[in-house]
Amino acid sequence: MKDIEDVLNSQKVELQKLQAPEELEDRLRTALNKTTLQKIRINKGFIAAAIAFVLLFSYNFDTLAYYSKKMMGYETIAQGSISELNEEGAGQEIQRSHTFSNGVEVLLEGIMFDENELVAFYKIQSTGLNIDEISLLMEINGLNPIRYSARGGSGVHIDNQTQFWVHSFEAPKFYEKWLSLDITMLAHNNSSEQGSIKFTLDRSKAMKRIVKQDIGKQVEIENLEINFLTLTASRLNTTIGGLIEPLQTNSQGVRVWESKEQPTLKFDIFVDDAFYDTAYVGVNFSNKKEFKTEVRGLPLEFNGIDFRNFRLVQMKMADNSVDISFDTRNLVVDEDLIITRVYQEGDNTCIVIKSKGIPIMGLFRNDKQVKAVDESDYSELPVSPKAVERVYRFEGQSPDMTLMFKVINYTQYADDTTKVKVL
Amino acid sequence: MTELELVNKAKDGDKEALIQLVMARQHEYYRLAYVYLKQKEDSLDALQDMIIILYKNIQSLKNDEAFFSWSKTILVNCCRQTLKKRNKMVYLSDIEEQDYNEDRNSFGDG
Repeated sequence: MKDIEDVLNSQKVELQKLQAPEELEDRLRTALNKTTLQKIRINKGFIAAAIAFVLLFSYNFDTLAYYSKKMMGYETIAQGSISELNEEGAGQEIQRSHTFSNGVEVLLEGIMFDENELVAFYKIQSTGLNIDEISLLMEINGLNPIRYSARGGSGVHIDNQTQFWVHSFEAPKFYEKWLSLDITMLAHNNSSEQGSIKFTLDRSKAMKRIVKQDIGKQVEIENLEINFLTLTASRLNTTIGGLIEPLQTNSQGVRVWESKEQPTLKFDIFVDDAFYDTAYVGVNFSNKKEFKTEVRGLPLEFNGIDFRNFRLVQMKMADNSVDISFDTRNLVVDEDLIITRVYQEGDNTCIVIKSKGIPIMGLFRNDKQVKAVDESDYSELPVSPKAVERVYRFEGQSPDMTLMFKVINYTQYADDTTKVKVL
Repeated sequence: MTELELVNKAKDGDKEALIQLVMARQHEYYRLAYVYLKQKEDSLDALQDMIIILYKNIQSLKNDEAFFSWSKTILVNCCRQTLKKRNKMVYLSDIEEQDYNEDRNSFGDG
């Protein structure tokens, strides 16, 4: 898929010269002056009827999901609780498709949904065209004037004519019943085509709400106060809501490294004292910010949930690539990144790097990436007050190699004992 | 007046506050529309459509700080609608996917 950023970058120089025309303000004012907000006349009878309709025929989150059949072909891409639910045959079967004029068919096989998320399982098939030559953009539309956006997904390429996808969307509002999966197909020959798969939401197949809990607890880390407010969970999805507030401004001493990427708060969710999942929250140091983060759904039965291992990860961009050999000594890549030496150890190549943070890098031989012996060895280590040497091991050996750096991670941990007991 | 104050006023139905918010980033909005539509008139039309939708829906915006990303998403939708009418192709991108993923994994994040 050609990303909007690519389009913007490719036309950067021309676009930078582009200025909004002077008449824009008048056009906006004219448009608004013709618009009035409609006052809704409240008809009590209508409201009573609507409430009765919702109660009788609409969504009941506490209803157990009815079971249909397992959707086949999605085993490798459905992760965590979605995978478990699919194994059990949970969710709503749809089995409706749209075929585009070039023979590409999108088959919506089924959905899973709760009050936080809708997950679509769909298959793309082509009778001749290579699917890699097209891009498909998905959105779900219903009564709500703002469409339900795609939030991310994963797909598997079976061959040039078949792909399976699991795609997450915002949850439909409680009043939605008739929805459509609207698809825009973009082909490399600059043509586009719209398609739509209409389906009816069967609310009896919604995932049962297991927990809806106010939390009301705070954690402090690096001059940020994290207020945990709510937790809502089904077997499909656990959503944690809260507020992050800076306790001091940057000028008052908050340690922030030069960073082009958004700092991330990470914490682990423990269920019955066993690690269950890790949550990620984007943070900033200047403003109070509400957050909502999602992790895998909860099991039906458990005794307790708590959050632990609070850490703040800041990334410094270190987009750099250096040629190295076994003769490399004290090569400065970045002010916080020195390759002190490279040596052989058995069949492995060892690279000694001195830094405060943890570099994320890849070693290449003849343009092929070399497997790290233990990729996760240092990734979660806390930032060191002074640069320290660490040995990174890669499989195989070669006289000439290229080491590519992407970022340096700086992880700061809250006190070990910090824990938020939710239930 | 800060952006957040303007958003609050716009939520109270203040049309001028909404115009100020859009005009504060007029070039950004216009460039985004122009990338999609490649025409001045269509881009202005899309911006007009956008401000009407913003006016009618701003009360549903829960996070005031997200005004600009929200409004740009609406502008992209308006551009798509215009494209549908024109049945003309430009490269589109699912930029909302990035917005809604901001709290999830980021590259290199351990």
